[in-house]
Amino acid sequence: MKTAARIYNWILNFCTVLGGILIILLMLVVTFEVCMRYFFASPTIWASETAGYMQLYFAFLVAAWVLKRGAHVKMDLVVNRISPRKAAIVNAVTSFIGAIVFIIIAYYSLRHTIYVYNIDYRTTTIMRVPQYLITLIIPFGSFLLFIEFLVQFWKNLSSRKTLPDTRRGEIIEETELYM
Amino acid sequence: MEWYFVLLIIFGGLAVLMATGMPVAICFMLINIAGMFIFFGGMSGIEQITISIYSSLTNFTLLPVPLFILMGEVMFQSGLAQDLIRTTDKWLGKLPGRLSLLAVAAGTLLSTLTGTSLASVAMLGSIITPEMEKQGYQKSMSLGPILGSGGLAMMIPPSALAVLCGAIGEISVGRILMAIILPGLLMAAIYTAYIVIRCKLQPSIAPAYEVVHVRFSEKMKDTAKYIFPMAIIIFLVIGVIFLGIATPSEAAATGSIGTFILAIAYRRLNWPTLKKITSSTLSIAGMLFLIIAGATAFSQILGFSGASAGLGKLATGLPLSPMMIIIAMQIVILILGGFMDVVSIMMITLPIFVPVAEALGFNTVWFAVIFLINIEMAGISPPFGLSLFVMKGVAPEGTTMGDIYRAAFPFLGMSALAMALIMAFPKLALWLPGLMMR
Repeated sequence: MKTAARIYNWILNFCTVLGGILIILLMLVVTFEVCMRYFFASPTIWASETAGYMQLYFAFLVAAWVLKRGAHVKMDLVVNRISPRKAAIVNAVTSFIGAIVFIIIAYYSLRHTIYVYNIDYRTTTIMRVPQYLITLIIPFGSFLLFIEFLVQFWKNLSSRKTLPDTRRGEIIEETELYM
Repeated sequence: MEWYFVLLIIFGGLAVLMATGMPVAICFMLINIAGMFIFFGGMSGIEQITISIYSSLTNFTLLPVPLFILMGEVMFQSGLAQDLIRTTDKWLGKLPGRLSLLAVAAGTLLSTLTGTSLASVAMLGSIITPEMEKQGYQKSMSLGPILGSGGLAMMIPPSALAVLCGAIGEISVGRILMAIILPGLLMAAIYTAYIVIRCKLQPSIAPAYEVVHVRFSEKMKDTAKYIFPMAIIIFLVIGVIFLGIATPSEAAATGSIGTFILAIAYRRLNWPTLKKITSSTLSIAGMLFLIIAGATAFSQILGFSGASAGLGKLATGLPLSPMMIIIAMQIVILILGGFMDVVSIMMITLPIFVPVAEALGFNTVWFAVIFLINIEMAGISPPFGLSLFVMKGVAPEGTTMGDIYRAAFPFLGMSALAMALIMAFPKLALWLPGLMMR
């Protein structure tokens, strides 16, 4: 079990580093395009299309890591008003639902990816990229999200017994920094 | 099924799911899976999810979202934003409500470099409020201006939310970015006027104090060092869009390269800082993108079920003047704003509101500007506007939520005034985009 957890964490971190590299690359690729077009009058045919694919990749590479950090925005008004024990139960249930949502998405997007691979479908753009290479990240990222939701489900379920069953005083202590 | 029934199920379902504390991205995904199953033919409908995620996220117009966030992070984490605030501080003399005015001035400058208002509120709050406390400012004059001017970050480009608004509502992002500039400055001017008048009438809420004299040469030196280079960044973002050299997506890339070059030039970029910059950018952008992943499917479901058309028909058929309908929409957004995060509000309202506004004969860019002011207000509207809680996090010990609510109200009023002015004089928003090179 411990080894599995170590491998999983390693994968999450690795994906996050890739995501970070992608963000920096995105910036460089698009600036390169602007320079080529404006200063050398020879725009590339691949830059903006590739940038789009990179967006999709980075979103699904980091999604599970963002979930692990608790940075996916949520409306915790109700959960913050009930006792920590009840909140843990609610969180366990919602995490379980999250796991189901992403295993469905993982399954269907994998089916779609295998399908476009088998018929050798290519994008209708100039680059004619094999479509499966692009959509492949969706089942992969969704599967990581599935696992992360299961982890959260388990954590909430096992922590519930140790938590007090009384209401908390302050409604909300802090909120994730965003926007 | 009647469209209003469908609408009720979709929105009711979303509200219940969100109330359980489930991440909003997952709420949208769940509704999408259910909706696809019902309206797009069972299991084969769910297969469409892959295609809709693909088309939501490979959209090139979304590119400025992560890059504008990246820009802001570079400015904040490298300490350049802090220097900007300190330099602005040196310029202000002995004025009524000096520190409140500093918050507005610095907030406006910061907003030309960052795309997110929560980060702006946090930065201004942590630097300026301790000083306000020391000088005996009352909460209404210390917290309010910071909440108000932090919100300017989404009104002055680069603005990640303006980009999202354009991408989700299918309105020209470049035009929106140009259109929000004057309204953003107008809001800053209204805040300034309010602070000056209020402090003249009630000098006790912001006691005047002796300002340490700073030599003119030092002011000029700091300006040349910390404010002037920012003008280059502003040009790299706003200028290149305005002159038609680059699209907003490309401008976001050149702008963020610019901030990196600045940070390197000031020797502020090292390995730990770079790690912090990328990790907080990934965290915010990753969160936003997972919500946006559901955008195409969600608006398809609203469209396919007949809900969008039905609601549009209802709105255009109402015995109300078009302007009243626009105002009614703003009230809906404002109410949602007290309870929901801004991206969810955009996902829910834009696919319905934009076609209606268009059908009523309004300019969609103008509508987007009004919408964004409202979204800015949503961030500071009690009880649950997100900026309010960020403020709570950086406010001095002993500040209650009640203090923050009371401080926010006048600035909500001032933003509403700005919104009313733009409704009355659409030129305020549409003049600049009209001048754009094409």
